[in-house]
Amino acid sequence: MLLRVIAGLSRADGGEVWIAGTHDPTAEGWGRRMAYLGPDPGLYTWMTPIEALHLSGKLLNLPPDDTARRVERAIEWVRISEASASRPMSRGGVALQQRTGLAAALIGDPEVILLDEPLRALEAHERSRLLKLPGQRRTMIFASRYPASEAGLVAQVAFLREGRVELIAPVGALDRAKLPLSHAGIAALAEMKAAGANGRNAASA
Amino acid sequence: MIIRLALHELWISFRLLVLLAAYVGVGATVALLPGPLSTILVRLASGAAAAMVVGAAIAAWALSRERTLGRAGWLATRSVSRATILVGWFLSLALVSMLGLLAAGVLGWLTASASVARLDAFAFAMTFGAIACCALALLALGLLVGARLRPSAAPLVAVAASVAIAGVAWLAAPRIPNPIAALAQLPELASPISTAVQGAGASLAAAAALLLVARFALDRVDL
Repeated sequence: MLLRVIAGLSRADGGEVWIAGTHDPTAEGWGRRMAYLGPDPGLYTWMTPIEALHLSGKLLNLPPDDTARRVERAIEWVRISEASASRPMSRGGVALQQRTGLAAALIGDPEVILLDEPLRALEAHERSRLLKLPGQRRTMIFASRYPASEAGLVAQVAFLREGRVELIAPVGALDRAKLPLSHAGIAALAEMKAAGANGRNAASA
Repeated sequence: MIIRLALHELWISFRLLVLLAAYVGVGATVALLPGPLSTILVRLASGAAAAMVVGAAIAAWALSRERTLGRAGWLATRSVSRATILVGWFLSLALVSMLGLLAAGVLGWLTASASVARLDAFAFAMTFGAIACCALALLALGLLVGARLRPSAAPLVAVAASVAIAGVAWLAAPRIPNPIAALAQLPELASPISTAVQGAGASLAAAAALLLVARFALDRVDL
């Protein structure tokens, strides 16, 4: 839900979203500096992947030449075959839609990519390959029910409870505490950190 | 861009054909069933009202599906504002409805003008223009419902709300200017142009208000 709030798809109960020093979610603010990919890409499935990507570039106001170059690069990255790229996505299944959704998210070359249970229809090794995104200066934020499947992709883990961030820690902290990269492991690390902080507070008092 | 997308989506899902057929079917039915002028006008008016209700249901269903299938969300994450999505759908549905109404009006006029009794062409055109404004108001109502409810409920609620509003407007005529009632009673009206202008104004005001509420509703819903 937090990623959907940041992406502007859901409304927050309170507060404001600030990204890169601005809370303007329009194209003039951080709208084009960020991309969101959810479990269902929400594409028009009567379109071909190429049409969907060109539309994506057009909506982001990219020049046509630049869009064509980016579409070619993105199609190559997500490995959509020439035949699949030029027939409606409705004939290609969910995996093709998810590959196209990722390509559409990359078209604008965003600085921040929000990934909400992405590419679940793909095989694990292909999913990992695709999510090791090309380019520099990219921040990816994952929301995952299966954190273990994101091993090797994430540098930090965060734990949220009742709408509050209880923990942000490097993945290495789990290894040091001999905890698995799982919900239970991250929750246990959050408990340990909280207990440690309480202990320090009690000692200083 | 959004209008083209919406039109293509309507075309591919056959909703465009249903909406056009609803309006053209009214004109065709009136043309095929002979009768006195008063009967022709009552058939034309009630048929147009039914087609407008179909339009409201399609509008509700279309916007609700756009939300629940994540397409509106996909557009929103590409920096397309929710208001633009709403206006795009409104204009595309309005375009199809106006084309359908034009066809129904022409067929209705050809049938009505062939009757023995005389009918003022300008008054007929003005009244049909006012009916077009009513159709816009019901499309806006449908979009308002579609902005909040799920696809399974949205068309039913849109139909119920449209029928309720049409019923109240019918009963309240002539205190509230009602273009549908005006068309049914066109030969007897003392000042049909004035009634049509008042009806068009009231309908456009309602359409604007409903679109504004729909915009706020869409702003507050999850995409």
